[in-house]
Amino acid sequence: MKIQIKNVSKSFKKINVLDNINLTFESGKIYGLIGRNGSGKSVLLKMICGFYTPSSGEILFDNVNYIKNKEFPKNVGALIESPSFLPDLTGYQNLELLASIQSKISDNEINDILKKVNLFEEKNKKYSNYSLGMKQKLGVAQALMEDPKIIILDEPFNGIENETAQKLRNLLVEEKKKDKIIILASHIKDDIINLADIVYEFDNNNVKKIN
Amino acid sequence: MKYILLNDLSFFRKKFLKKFILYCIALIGSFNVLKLTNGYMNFDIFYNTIGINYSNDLGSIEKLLCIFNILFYFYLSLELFTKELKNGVENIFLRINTKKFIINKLISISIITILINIIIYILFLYLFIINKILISNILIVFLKNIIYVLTLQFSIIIVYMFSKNNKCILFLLMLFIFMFNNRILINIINTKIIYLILVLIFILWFIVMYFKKNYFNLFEK
Repeated sequence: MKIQIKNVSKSFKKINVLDNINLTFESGKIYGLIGRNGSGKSVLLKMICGFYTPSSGEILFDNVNYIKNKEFPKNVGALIESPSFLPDLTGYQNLELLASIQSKISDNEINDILKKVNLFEEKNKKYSNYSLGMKQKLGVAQALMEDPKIIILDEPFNGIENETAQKLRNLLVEEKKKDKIIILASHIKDDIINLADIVYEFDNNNVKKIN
Repeated sequence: MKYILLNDLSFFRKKFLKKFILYCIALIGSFNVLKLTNGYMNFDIFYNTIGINYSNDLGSIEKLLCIFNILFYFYLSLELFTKELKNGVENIFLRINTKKFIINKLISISIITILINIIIYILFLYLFIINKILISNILIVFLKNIIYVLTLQFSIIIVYMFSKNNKCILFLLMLFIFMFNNRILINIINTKIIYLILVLIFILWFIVMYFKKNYFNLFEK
């Protein structure tokens, strides 16, 4: 699988956020996007997910342009910006409800992903009682639970304690071995640099590869 | 469907319930003012209170109530419609196609609107029962009212979708309502239900088609 970002520019109200970006993301690799807040990382992730359209250029998934076809890309699990769940339901019930949309996974698989993100013990707590880190873990869990081929995580380690962050890093390495495309974005270089195979830095509307 | 409906009900309970209670209090207060002004209590006063008995002969309180009711339903539908577009978009839109989403969303808005109207009608019917006033033809009025309110709500959703391309459209619509209100406010009691249903079906079809083709404009800030 391959995602190609071809000559993509994006501007909002005449303010240029990304200018003529060319990137390729391939299966079996972890990609890191780093850059200060507002450098355009999240905008690119939203364009890949189909939530924003490029002002010019195209984004191809195995040569399919979903945006042109007015569709969201298939097989993508994402957490972009802050997680959003139903406050009155427990963590488990929230995932169960989301899983019911596609009915692709069983209750056991929901429990498995909760164990993998270190949230199993708190799965029966109401979401409104979750800490910031627990909310983030649930957001990561919803992105990964249906075994998507493309995983997109924006600031995945936000508010997560070191032990779980390391567990998540190991989990992402395991996911990479399943021949998935994993794209992580963070404004903290250290979060990404040791995990990613390829790192791109976003600055001044442009992107450069730094390893 | 389950996800969208539960999400909307949760939103309604957390963020809209107090506003709905205030709306009901305002309706009952207005109803009592109209009752005192007229010196009697009948169903016309109730219909005027909920803004479905419009005519050019109405007083300014009744006309204001028509506008007030419309604005309440506009606000409710826009809040419910834009909720998923603002937060946690990846939760839902990477799991469901746009057509299925918009159909489920419209059903969810309809269910909440029907529940709201059931509560309002029960509230007022209770007032009529304790005052020993005979209730008649209420079911057909209720149905017409629901169709009218849904038509209004879905119309403002269309305007909202248009306004994402051109911001001034929303402002122009509000101006239109206030300047030419008798073209928007209609007398539901005297309108044949079949016309209301046909208009509603057309609006539903239009929303589904327009959303499918233009959904991406709605995510952009």
